[in-house]
Amino acid sequence: MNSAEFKALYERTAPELRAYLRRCVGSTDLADDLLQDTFIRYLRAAPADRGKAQTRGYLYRTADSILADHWRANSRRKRRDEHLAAEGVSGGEAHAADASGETSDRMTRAMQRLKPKTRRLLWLAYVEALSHREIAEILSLKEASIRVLLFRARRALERELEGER
Amino acid sequence: MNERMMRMETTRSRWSPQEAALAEALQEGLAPHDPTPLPDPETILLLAEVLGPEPPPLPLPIRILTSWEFLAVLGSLPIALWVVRRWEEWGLDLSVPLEVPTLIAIGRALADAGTPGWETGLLLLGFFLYLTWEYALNTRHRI
Repeated sequence: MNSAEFKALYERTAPELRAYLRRCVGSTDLADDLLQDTFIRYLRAAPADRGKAQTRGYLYRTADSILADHWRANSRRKRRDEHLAAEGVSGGEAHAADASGETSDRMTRAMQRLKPKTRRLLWLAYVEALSHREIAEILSLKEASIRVLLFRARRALERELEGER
Repeated sequence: MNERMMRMETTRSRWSPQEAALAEALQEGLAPHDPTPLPDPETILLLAEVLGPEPPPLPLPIRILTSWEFLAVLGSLPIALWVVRRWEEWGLDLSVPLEVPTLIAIGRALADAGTPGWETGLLLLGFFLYLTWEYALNTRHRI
């Protein structure tokens, strides 16, 4: 992929991916770091030339994998900080968790607990407002399954939000 | 109005009130036009170049052999064999034939529903149990 092709892809997909990451982590700065990592991983993996929908799906999956890595590292840091705090050693201010963000709220926490596929489904349907056919293309699913999957995804999110109360 | 907002206008009419409320909640706090500039794509290109290409993924057979689904099925095999050897002692009636087409149909239905890994694992386990059962029956008949 040459520089011009990448820039075109970036302009087309980066704003929606950033919004998705921001909703999941609650901070624009952190979302930008993760966005950068997502595209770096995309470029390094040099995936075969795909259609627009498949590329979008690939980017969302990569972003979710990077989110998972981030949360895993974050929980390790939290455990270590708690351990240090218990021993009376100061540490961890530099690793203030995602709560530092502007949109760290119930929805962000609920999104964090959803399965990646459920999260992607909800996002594509209710934020990107894509049709079932487009969602099916991006997530490599059958169009007929989307209605049922969305129903389950809504229920899952409702449960998570109720758990927040 | 950007592309997403236009899509939203047309799609919103098809949503139920609950779906519209959910969409609103999901977008809460996210500005439709984020004024913060995106990270510079040139920097991303440069960093990717410096880091170089990722190592190629492991060959497919190795990925299958090390997948948790395969290991789970492998691990459950002794249990399945043990159950099959004991089923007569327990007086269980396992004479209802579980046919391959039924399993294929279940597999297809699960795949259509966008199965997560554990469901696929369960299906594989079921298939293994079926094969073990068939094998045990055939062996018994020969004896």
